[in-house]
Parts: sequence; structure tokens; C-alpha cells
Amino acid sequence: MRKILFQNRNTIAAFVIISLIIVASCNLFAITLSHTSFVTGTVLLICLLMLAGYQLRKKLSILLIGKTSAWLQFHIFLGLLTSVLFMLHIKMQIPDGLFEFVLFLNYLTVFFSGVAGWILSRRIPHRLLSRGEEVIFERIPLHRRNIHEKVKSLVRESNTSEKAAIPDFYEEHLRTFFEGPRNQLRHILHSERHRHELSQKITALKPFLNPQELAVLQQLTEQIQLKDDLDYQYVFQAIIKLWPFVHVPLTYSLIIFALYHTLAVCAFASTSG
Amino acid sequence: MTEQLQPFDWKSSNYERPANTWVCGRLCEEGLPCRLGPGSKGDCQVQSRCEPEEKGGKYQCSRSTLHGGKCKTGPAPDGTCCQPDTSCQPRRSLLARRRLLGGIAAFIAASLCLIIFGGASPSPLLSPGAVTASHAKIESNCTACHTAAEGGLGTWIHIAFNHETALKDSALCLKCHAELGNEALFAHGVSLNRLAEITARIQTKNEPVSTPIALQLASLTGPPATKDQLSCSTCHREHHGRKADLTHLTDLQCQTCHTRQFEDFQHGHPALGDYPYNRRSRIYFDHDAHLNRYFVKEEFKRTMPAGVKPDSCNSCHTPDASGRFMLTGSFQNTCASCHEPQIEDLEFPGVPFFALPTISPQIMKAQGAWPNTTGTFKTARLPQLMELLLEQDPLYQNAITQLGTVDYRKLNNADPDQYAAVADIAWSIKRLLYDISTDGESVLQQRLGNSHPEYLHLNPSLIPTLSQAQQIWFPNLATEIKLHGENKPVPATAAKASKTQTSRIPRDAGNGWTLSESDFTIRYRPLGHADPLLKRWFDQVIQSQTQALDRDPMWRILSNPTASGTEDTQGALASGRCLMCHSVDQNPETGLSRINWLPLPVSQTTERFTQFSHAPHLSMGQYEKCAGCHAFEPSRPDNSAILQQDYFARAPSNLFWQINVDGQQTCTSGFQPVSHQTCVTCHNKTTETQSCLQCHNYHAHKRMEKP
Repeated sequence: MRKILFQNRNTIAAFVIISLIIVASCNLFAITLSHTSFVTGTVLLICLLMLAGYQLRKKLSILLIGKTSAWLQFHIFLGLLTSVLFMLHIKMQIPDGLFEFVLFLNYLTVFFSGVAGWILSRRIPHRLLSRGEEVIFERIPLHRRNIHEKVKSLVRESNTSEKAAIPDFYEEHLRTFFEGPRNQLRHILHSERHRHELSQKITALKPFLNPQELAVLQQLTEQIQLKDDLDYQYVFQAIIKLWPFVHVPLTYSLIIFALYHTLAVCAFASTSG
Repeated sequence: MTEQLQPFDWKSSNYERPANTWVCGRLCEEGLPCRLGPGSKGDCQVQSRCEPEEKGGKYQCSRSTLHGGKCKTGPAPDGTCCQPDTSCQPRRSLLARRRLLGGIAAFIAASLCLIIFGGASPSPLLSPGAVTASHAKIESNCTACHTAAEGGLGTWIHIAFNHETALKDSALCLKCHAELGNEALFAHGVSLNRLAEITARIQTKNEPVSTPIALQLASLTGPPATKDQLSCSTCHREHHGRKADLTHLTDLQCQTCHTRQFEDFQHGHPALGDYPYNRRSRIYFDHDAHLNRYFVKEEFKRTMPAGVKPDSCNSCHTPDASGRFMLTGSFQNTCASCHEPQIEDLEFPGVPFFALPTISPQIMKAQGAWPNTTGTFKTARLPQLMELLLEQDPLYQNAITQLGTVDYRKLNNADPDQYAAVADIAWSIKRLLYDISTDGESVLQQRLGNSHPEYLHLNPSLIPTLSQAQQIWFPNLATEIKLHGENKPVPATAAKASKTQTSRIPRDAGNGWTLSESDFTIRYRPLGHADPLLKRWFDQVIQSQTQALDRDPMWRILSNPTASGTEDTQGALASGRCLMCHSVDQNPETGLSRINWLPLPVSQTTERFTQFSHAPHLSMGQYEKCAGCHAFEPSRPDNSAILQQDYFARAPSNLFWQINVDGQQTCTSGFQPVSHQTCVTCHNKTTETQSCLQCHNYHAHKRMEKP
């Protein structure tokens, strides 16, 4: 954390300075009996449109208007700055009106989902590197199937009329594990309990197996690790893929609400401020 | 070490297209995608089954090489394909789902907005919050405050870009808040000229002050344009809850428009000047003389035997219900014990309103009865009311013209050739009496017209006394008038016959009017304090004749503050000295004058930038310590003379008194002005009780409620 802060010291300093300038300007503006809400609201709306424009920038990748990574940094910076503007705009109070309360909640959801996404996009890649192989998210079902097919093949090979320990073990403990993504919450929580439990069961099985079966079991163990790592990759990549499902759609509704709010304010605020 | 899951060579690795709208359904369900993938419209492109073609009576497989080529088995004899259907139902990609969700969210938001904004009038859902409790009754009626509420979305769009909306909305505020005056939207509710005048006055003060840094910086953003009208919402922001304070402003906000800016009340606030004595008190009262002279050593008992000495300040002054004002006790409770006998003035015969001049029988020969034949008329002129009533009488005016300068004290000294003119005067007076006794008040209305309304509808009425006088002095007046009208000689016996009748008629009705048979005069002696006739007369005369008041004989009598009497009313005249205590103020804008019958104004219509409430100060145990703030002026040996100068002034003739109508004239009232340092003792940074709004009003013309 300290390292991150140090690396971004210029950005943090710029953010703090700009925030202080905004707060001070707002307070000075308020002294002159001006409607600071109009100013903060106007700037906030412009910021929201610019933030939403980031999505457009991603679409227009052919245009040479700076790197997308730079745009992302700007998007994050501006997004955080809107929180300062927003707090000044609402004067640190929860709005009483229903429409404004919806707008308030909408903004908070978009903002916090953005912050969450920002944090996740910084944290998850490190975790993804720490375990398993980096795989393309869209191909995970394919890899899962391949693993499962291989496991089924190993099980079939060890299924003889005399001995059925491994097939039984597969049916009892491994089938559901290999059929789909499992233990997602435990992966999120960084828990390896399920692996330990499986490991214990495998260890308990070993005394009853002959050398051929032990070799198969060893291969199965490798596939279990492979599948578990794949699940790990899946769940964290899914998180990265899914948080924009909150952030982006609600941004559209936020802009629509904000535009209507602006219209209402301009028409009615001369007696309410 | 586990094996690699993912090959990246171009042959064994598909090129993923996550930006596509559709992905293979088999990939999602089974992890076994086809190499073709779904079409752009979400259709599966796999054609595992074909439409066998009939050639020569046999069906042949028609599957293309792209879809796996011709199958070995071939079609069934009935022409159906032998291959199972392996097509899938493609699914939306994550990106497509996100787009769809975005579209749904935008649609819901837009629909919700259209529902809320689409009505003919604003929906309650649009309200940004509850209004203050004082506006709660009109909360549901948006049009009461918002011009935009009169229409729908189209109107709002139009109004949103209209710069005059704020002022139009403010006009709606003023529909209810009419007490703020016509210029409420200008800074401080005063006219631009007045504002410039005040600003110029303040700028002339060169007391060194340091402007707070926040105000210096704020000035860079530009303060509101005080030369234009300001909307109410500049300061009052609604829809912040029932308990919101609409009048809250910080000290810095108050000062943002001011040319003289300072840190706080403790540091840099201008001196209070003469406050609260920047105008004279409405009732003339010399505190110093009363407390330090009259009531010392019980000296007042000598001249005011029934007088009661006040114990303390609150013997006369008590706070009103709000605690804001220190009310002055009523006359009966405070002044009457000493001054009631003075005002009743039982020895004073009264102010003459009607009198018969002395005319000798020689002149009145064959002119009917004339009771006042002996002695000397006391004044050169008739009483004021008589002169006014005879002003429009041609007979009287003709007689006056013939006589030249008339001195009623010497009427009997007229030349014989002027007897007829003197007799005409007598007949004019008789006609006046006759008309009044027969037609009453309408005669006054007819003769005085609109020029002297102060004499109309006198209360108590003069008519009964005049009728009574006619019956006593001229019992056969009707006959005399008739004979005189026929130019016949009128016998003078009538007056003698009346002598017997007069004894039965009460001479004094007990209503202030007295009829004197000794000098044939009708006088009015005020009934006491707050005499209704004099009060009404003063109120009317001061409105209509301020320019010529000093030449008005009646005014000279009734407004004489010296009680020294006049030619008409010899001797002390305490009962006429209403204006001895009740000052007169003139509105400099309208020119209208008003007598201050009460110590506090009924309604505050003049500028009032400062307010003060005694209540919090009294609750702090200062009640008995009024002198802590209101200290006597120690340096002046005789305040009475100074005080009187503020109220009364000698006319240029030095014979009569002029009323000083300048209410703003400084008057010490015997007290030192309240010191700024005295206030700072409590109102300072430590106690956090030095806000501007604690003492100052923004709306200088806001009328105050009657205390």
C-alpha cells in the first residue's frame, strides 16, 4: 500500500490540491451569496459526461487521442474528483426529495462500483498471477471440459471388474467438482479448505490402491489442482468482467437522471436554490 | 508441475472475439464450441444436417465441405438426413449483455423521468424536499412559488433558459410578503438612490479596518450586483426541510456586498454612534430631571401632592410579551399621579370657539335682540372657528370690507355711518346661529367645506351647545330672521323675554363645552388626558395645514408648550399642551406629519437596519441594571434645555413656538449612547454571540408587529 502511494504521489498530490482548490473556491463562491449548487452541479454534469465518454474512447480505438491507459487514469482521477464535487453539491446531506434521492443513490452506486472496479483491477491481476495458468476467460469452459474429459478417461481406464476404487471415488467426490466452476466463494476468500479436504480423502484412499491405481490417482490429483486453479482464474476473471455490469448501465441512467435534474433545477431553483 | 491448458499456436487456438454480440451456445453449455461460431444475428451456423437432393430417384447428401462434407452413411431412403441435429442456441456475449443491461437501465430511467416530468404540472415526486414549517400550508401548491409550475415540460425548458424567472418567482413571494414594501427586491429593500446615499456616508468614515482574507479572495469571484434587483433565493433557500433556517447567513456573506468589511463585531465593527438615541424619543421626557431632581428628597410632594415616586426603571418600563421592547407604562400608571391635575386644569375656563362681540344697543337699534351690549370684547378677532364659519358669508364679508381693519374690542367706537356694517356683522352671527340650530352639522359642512375638516364632526359635538346658546341668547331668532328678511324693523324685546327661559336650560353639558353668559362665549375645556376632541383636531390639522400652522390662532393656543397663555386664552393653559409631551414627526418622503401619541410606533415603516431585543439581556440579570447600558449623561449640567431644543423651537417672531417635526434630530434623552465596548463585553468571539443577524435586519423596511 505504501509502495502504491509512493508510486502515485504526484497523482495523489494533484488530486488533493485540486480538491482543496474546488472546496475553497466553492466556499469563497458561497460567501458572495452565489448559488454554489449551480456551479458544482454544472461541473459535475460535465465531469459525468466526460467520464461516460471514456466508454466512447474505447470504441474509437482508431483515433490517435492518447493511450487508453492514460484515458483510464484520467477516468479514475476525474471519477474520484466527482466525489468531492458531489459532496459539495449535496452539501453533505442526504436529499429529501424522492427523485433527488434516486439520483443520489444512483451516483453513489456508480461511484462505489467504479471505486470497487478500480481496486479490483489493481488487486486481482496479482492474485491471478499467483495461481494457475493465465487463461482467456472465454476459453475457460473449454479448458474445464478438456480437464473433465481427461479425468473421465483416467477413471475409465482404472475401471476394471475387480477394482473400482477410483471410479467410486470419482463418482462420490470428484464428479461434481469437475462438472463446473466450484468453490467460488472460497477462492474469493482465499480459502483452500476444499483442497485440503480433497487431499485428505485422497490420502485416505491411497492405502487401498495398487501401484497402477496410485499412478492414476496421482494424475487425478494433478487434474484436481489444474481444475481448482482454473476455478480460481474463473472466479476472479468473472469478478473483473462483472463489476462493469453495475457501473456502466447505471452510468447511463445517472446521465439521464442528471439531465432531467438539471432541467428541473434551472426551471424551479430560483426559489429553492 | 501441471500441464499447459492453453495452446497459443494459431492452428490449435481459436481467435476469440469477445466483442461479438453472440457466442456459441455449446461453448457455454459443454465447453465444446464449433469453429464457425454463431452468426451476427444470433443464429447457429452449424449445419450438421443437410437437405438431401434427389437425383435419379435416389437421395444424395448435400452437406457442404465447410460443414463437414458429405456423410458416409448418406440420407435415409425416405430422403431425410441421417445426421443428428447438433446446432446450438447461441448466447449473448458478456459485452452484449452489458449493453443490453445498459439499454434497459437507460430505458427505465428515461421512462421514470417521463412519468415524473411528463405531467401537466410538477409531480410531488419532483419536490427536492420539504419546505419550512412556515410554508408548509402551500407546499402542495407549486404555482404559489414557481412560475415554472404553471406548465409542463415544455414550459420548464423555456423557463430554464429565461433569466427573469428568478425575479418572477420572487414577485410570487412578495404576494404574501407584502410587508417588505415595494422595493423589497433591491438591496436592503431601499431605493438605489438611498442605497448610494448610505454607501457614500459609510465610505466617508475613515476608521481603519482590516478586511478578512476570505472576503478579499471572495471579491475576486465577484459579489452579487447590488445595483440590480436581487431574487429572494439569493439569501433564502427553500426545500431543505421543515426546520431549515431560511434566514441563516454567515457574517462573511452579510459583508460580501458591503464597502466596509471587517473581521467581526469585536474587531472592526463601526462604533454605534448615537444608538439607540439616533432619533428623539416620541414622548418628550426628561429622565435626568425626573430622577435626579424631582424625586430627590421628596421635593415633588410640594408641587405634586398626589405624586408617586417610581421605585426603579421598571416602575415605568416593562418588557412586552416578546421581550423585545421595553414598553412605557400608560399615562394613568406612570404620569397621572403628578400630571393629571395639571392637565385637568380646573381653573382654566377653556378655549373660546364662539363668542358674541360687544355691540351697543345704539348700533343695534331696530335690529332685534343682541345680549352682549356692555363691557369690552376681550380680543381683536373673533374666535377662529367663528371666523371660518363667517368666511363665506357675503353679508359679513361686505361689512368687514366697509369697516376696514376690524378690531372687535373697539367695535362700538365705529362711526355712525358704519353702524349698518356693524349691524350686518351681528346679523351674520345671528344667521349663523339660526342656521346651526335648525340644520345642525350640515351647516358646518356647508360653510367650512373641505378647507377645514378639522372642525367638522367634533366629538363632543359643538352643535348642542350652540343650539342651547341660541335658545338662551336669541329665543325669538326665527321671528327676527323672518322680519329681517322682509326688511322690517325688528324689535329688541326678544332678548329680555328669554331671560326667564334660560334658567331652565343646563349651561354645561359636562362634555367639555361650556357656555358663559357673563361674556357670551362658548368655550371648550379638555376633559383630561387624551381628550378626544383635541386629539382628533390635532391629527387632522397637522395633516392638512402644516405650512400655515404657525399662523393659525387655534394652533397657537393649543400647541403652546410654555403654558403661558395667549391673547385668546389668558393665563396658564396646561390642558392644551398636548404637544408638550407628544412630539410630531414628519415623513421626509411624503411630507405628512404625525403626532406620536404612543411612545413606540404602531408599525415600523421607516428604515430599520438594526433590531434589539431586551429579553435575552433581561434574562441575564440585567433588569435591575438598566444603567449598565443606559447611563445618564454626566457632563451636561442642564439637559432640559438641550432636550427642549430637540422638540421645540422659537418661531422667528420669538412670540410663538414652532413644532420641530424632524424626528431624526438627535436627542440624548438624558442618556449616553450605548457603547460598542459595552456590547462587546458579552458579544465577542468567546461567547460566539456576535453574528450580524443578531442585531441587524436585512429587510430594512419590514414592518414590525405592534408590541
